[in-house]
Amino acid sequence: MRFTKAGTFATLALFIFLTQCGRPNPGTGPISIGFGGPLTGKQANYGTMCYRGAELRLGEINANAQANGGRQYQLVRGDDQATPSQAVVVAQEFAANAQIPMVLGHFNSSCSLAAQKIYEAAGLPNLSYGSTNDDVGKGSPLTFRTPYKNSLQGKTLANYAVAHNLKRIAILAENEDYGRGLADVFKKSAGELNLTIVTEKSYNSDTTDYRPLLLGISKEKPDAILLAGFYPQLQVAAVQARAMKINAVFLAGDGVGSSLDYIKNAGTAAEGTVATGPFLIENERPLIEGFKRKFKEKYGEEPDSWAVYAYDAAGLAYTVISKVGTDRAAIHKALSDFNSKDKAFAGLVGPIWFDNDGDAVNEDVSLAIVRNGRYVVIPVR
Amino acid sequence: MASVSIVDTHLILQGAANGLTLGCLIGLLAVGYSLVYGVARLINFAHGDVFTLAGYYIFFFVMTGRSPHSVNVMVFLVATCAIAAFAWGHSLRRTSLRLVVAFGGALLGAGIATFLIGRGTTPLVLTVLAAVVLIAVAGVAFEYLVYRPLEGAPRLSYLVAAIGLSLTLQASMQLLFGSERRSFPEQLHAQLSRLPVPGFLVGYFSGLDLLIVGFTFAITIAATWLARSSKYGIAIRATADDPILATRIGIDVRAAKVQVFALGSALAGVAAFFFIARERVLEPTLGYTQGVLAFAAAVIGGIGRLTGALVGGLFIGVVLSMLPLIDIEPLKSRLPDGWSAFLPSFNLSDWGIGIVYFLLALVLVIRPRGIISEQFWRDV
Repeated sequence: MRFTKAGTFATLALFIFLTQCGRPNPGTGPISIGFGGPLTGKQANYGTMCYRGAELRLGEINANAQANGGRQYQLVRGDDQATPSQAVVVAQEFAANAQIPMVLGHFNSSCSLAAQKIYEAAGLPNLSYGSTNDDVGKGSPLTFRTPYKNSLQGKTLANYAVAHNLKRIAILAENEDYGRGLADVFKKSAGELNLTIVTEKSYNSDTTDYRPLLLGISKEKPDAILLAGFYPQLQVAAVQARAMKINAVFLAGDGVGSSLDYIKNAGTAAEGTVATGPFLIENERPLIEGFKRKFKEKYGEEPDSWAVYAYDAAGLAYTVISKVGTDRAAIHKALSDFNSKDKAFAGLVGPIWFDNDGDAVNEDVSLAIVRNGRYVVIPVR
Repeated sequence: MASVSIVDTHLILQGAANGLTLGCLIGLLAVGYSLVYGVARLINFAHGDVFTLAGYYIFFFVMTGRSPHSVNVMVFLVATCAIAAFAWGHSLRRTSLRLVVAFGGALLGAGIATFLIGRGTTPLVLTVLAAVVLIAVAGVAFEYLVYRPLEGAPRLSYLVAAIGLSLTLQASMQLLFGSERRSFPEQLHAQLSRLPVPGFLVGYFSGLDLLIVGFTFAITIAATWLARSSKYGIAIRATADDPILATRIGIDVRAAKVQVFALGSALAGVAAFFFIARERVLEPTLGYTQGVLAFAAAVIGGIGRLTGALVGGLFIGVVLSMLPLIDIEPLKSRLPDGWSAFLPSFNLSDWGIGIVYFLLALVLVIRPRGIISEQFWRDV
């Protein structure tokens, strides 16, 4: 067989033409933003809420753009199932996709920490709308986040314990980054405030019988138990503890405190649980009322507070990309430029701006207690 | 604080009581592994997922209201009933007749499903009974679909098929029933827990716990008795002993296999009801963790023996339950300086499952036929 130069050239040209045919023109097609979060699995509830929050924001932007002739935005789903190993797979897909200039994600601290190394290697900026472990921002220069850090929750809960004379505290923590992280920062604050940690027990996400651990805890007769983990597990532990006549106060972080399902599923056992969380929905701020209405109109159910963070994260992504374009490095630079209060992005949660680690400078933690099947916001201190 | 840890009898009894209940739950599931292994010589790794499936049946039967997910349960029910009916009709010569039987099975399944799903008012006993029968039917369907075609194949093929069935079931349940964690209704749980408990046991067992323990012991004794003296039991034991010889003396080996699958699955169904009513947890991957524990129990107790499965289950239940009560700290302060560094600084409770697997490995190495001696079984 003989190749002619012209034939080879023509074939090559045809090949290039064909492979480029299906691609949207990078100048005018929709801009894709990666969304990493638990869209299925035990924590699918969180992921779905957040995805909808972000989708709602981009929907508004797209409607606006249609009127003014701007570019459309779309989310690319990356389901990490709340497991770090799956988050790495999602991150690799996003990193390899040149059409994705930026990622919103991930939700779980363990997933953000696992994925950020891959994003860093690919120069892909990522903005978490849900991770609160203290190390998430520090972990990579390309990682930013909209919520507060765990240490703020730990401090708030420890202060509550002191104010209510809860001196002996037991810890029940999930054995992963968020749970361990929250337990650690709580212990640090508790040490400073002279609270006694009487015992510390940990469980895995597939634990279903917490009675043995609770028995070990009840032995120490604590005044309060810190539930450091997520509601799908802790709703079970709460029910079992109350059935065992353990009357200690439940203190919990936002893994429990931002979920309405905790109250729904644990029922009477949830009563009296004191939890930190954003509680943006319960706080009845005027800006958020509008969001709540729009969310309910579109999806037929009430949003939770994480959806607000995701809504803001999507808004921030749009602001940056519409300004500097789809170059990953330029987006990173632009995100880093939100570095003081007067340069802050105006989100629903308030002004969002980042410190050197990429953590939102944010004191936005509220405290709520479960009364009659609802979170009632109580003053922090 | 004094370095001596005072032994709290009440606490230890509480731990033991919980261990007993937990052990019965594991044992009930372990019987299924043991039965199937004894007769079919295969480790049915999908047994845990059959347990989960039964949990979903019960969950959708007790819930009021229908959703796309409950329609999927209906599809599952109809399909398994049709396949099991098709399998049952194997003595019919003509395929067309078998298809008619299968269609009848499908209709029956659809009828039961429409009657139960989303109704929420059927008496609980009836609901559970229906779920147990239906899961036995599903067990028969899986045997026909997955293991029957492998007849005569090497054992490794069975193992691979079992793992394949397990993964397929898990994934289908995630897809069809939703992957979120479900909660068994609080009211029913409370009702069951309030069943009467004799005075001296109050504080150690709930009414439901006693029901679990009582049922497990009763069913194990009944099954052992049946295996010894009934016609079916003798056929099953003969098959377990030597399938070729059993065929020669006129025992339907295939029927014996189908019977153990049905019986094992039915027990998994009961275990599933007890489990979701007690722990109020249901998710598609539940059977994996519980199944592995039950498998360990079956091996520790001596796989292939009914009572052994219960003994193994109780052993694991008590280990898992009592570990968190052991405190290493007081021991540390008694050791001379420097030595305490050799003691672990973690909670023993964090290692519960790990310790169970370690014990399993130990049993496999030292006493591969179970912790109880052959002599003991012969004497019993």
